[in-house]
Amino acid sequence: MIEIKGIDVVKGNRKIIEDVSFSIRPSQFTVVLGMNGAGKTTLLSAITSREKLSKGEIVWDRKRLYDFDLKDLAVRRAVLSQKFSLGFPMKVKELVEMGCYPIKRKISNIEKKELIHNALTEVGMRSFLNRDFISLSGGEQKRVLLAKCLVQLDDKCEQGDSKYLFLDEPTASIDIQHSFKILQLVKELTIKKGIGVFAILHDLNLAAQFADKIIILKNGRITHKGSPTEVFKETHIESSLGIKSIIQKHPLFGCPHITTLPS
Amino acid sequence: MNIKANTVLVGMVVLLLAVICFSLFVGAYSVPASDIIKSFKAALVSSGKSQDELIGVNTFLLFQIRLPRILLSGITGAGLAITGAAIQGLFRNPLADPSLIGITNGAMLFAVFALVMMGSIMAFIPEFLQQSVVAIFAFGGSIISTYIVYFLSQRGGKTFVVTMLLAGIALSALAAAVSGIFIYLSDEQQLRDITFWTLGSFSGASWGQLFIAAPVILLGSFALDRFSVSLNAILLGENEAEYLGVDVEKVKSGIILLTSLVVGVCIAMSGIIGFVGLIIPHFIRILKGADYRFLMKASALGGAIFMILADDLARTIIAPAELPIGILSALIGGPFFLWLLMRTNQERLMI
Repeated sequence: MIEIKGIDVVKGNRKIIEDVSFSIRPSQFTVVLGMNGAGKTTLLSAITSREKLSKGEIVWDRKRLYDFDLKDLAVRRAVLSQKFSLGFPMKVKELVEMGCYPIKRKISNIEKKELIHNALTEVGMRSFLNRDFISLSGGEQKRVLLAKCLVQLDDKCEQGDSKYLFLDEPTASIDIQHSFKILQLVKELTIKKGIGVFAILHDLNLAAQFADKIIILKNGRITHKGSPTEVFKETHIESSLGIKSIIQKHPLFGCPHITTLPS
Repeated sequence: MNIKANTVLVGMVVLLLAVICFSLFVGAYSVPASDIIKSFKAALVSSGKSQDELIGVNTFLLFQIRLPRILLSGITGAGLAITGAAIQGLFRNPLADPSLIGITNGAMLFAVFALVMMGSIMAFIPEFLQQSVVAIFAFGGSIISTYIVYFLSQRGGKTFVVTMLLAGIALSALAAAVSGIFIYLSDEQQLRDITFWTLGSFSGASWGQLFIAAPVILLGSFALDRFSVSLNAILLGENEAEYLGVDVEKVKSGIILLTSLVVGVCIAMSGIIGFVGLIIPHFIRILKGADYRFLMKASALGGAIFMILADDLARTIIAPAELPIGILSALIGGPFFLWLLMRTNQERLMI
């Protein structure tokens, strides 16, 4: 379990994150919602050790985050970033293979190949194995990078401690079908492999369908947290996300279904 | 790395050995193949002292002049190309090469200073070092300028590569301007020396030079090659690399330290040879992609092969005189690379 205990993140003179506390549990899908500039990405960076805390601490499986070295962290968590660019042209398979870099034990080429193939199959990109990464569309690139994260978190890599997957807007620039598929795949990871997922999303209905726990950030503070049914209230959405809505019960899944309204 | 990449590397090693052997025959003074074998025997059996005077001359020519020169040009080519590949990867920029972070102009400034002020500084230099005073100054210049640039781009324990690039450009301009002052003050002979030094040459190659240069360049290159996995990860960006467990700051300082050492020694031994560090890694990328596990080794081998062949031409094309290697490496490499670039119509390889 990752425990975030009263953290502040300050950049320049601005407090981006203020007194944020919550926990990310294995086998749980945690979703963060918030308006642009609410501090979602900074929060994710702080939890993944890319951002310094000015107050509070983050405890990762009973060990302080800053006591881990980068290699130990790399086998425990994978991150799918919002922005990325590739310095030089590379093939899809070479990129996915990077997920094997943190593996400490010796790994055979056959094993490596299998890991890469499986991961690409899971994200529906198996046939793109030998394609050039930069020739792919934005959505396809994101799926390839997700495959890299899957390789990084594969059980064959490192046994033991719980693993976490961090996703910064995984469905941005991805079509509806694949957005759904990606979140479904991620959800399966939480159920089958016990991976804890922390995702930043903007689509409230996708969040309601897949999340076990929802956190809403506003101006760097948590305004609401809890299960989708607890968090998705018309008043909460209006005060924290700035939009009026009607909330009904989803006819199939039973989760809240949010219809946003013009203000 | 797949088997194919390994096969290519083995092929390049074989080609390098073939080029070395071939280059022994090449030169203003021709040595027949049979004499080369005799000279080999003479060199091995009686340490170069043969009854036959001609064999003696040949042995001297082959083992005291040509072989060290071939080996020095080879390792210099390897050193320049592998550092070029590493710097391009670190900066994630295809236009980067060691000269961008101030190494070359820093070396030039110090070398020009040494050449122009030779008369005044000689008195302070111990006698055994007087022969290599320009080389020592050039090496010092490249190390000092790199560290100034590196220091200027540090903030809070982090190195900012774009700042480093800009600082490198500014410092290079400054060094060039100060060099200009010394050039302005120089006399005719000094001006000629400066011009030839900046065009590079292996004509002074000796075993002595090789014994200094080879360990630094070879060990430096091996050490740089160990960063290849990290450089692959850095292609995705510094954040992504850290997520994959790469200590980016360590990689940066390691690569910059090693590059300044390797390039510093290369420049000290042979003057300024541009182009190789920039072009050879691109050449390899066009042929086989940007995977650094292959690129670093292949660049080193490719750089060695290219430099030896260029030097073969340098010492034969206007024999018995010699063309500076800096001119030739660009004269051959330029059109060849352009041809390769035009031939590649695959969009993926366009940057």
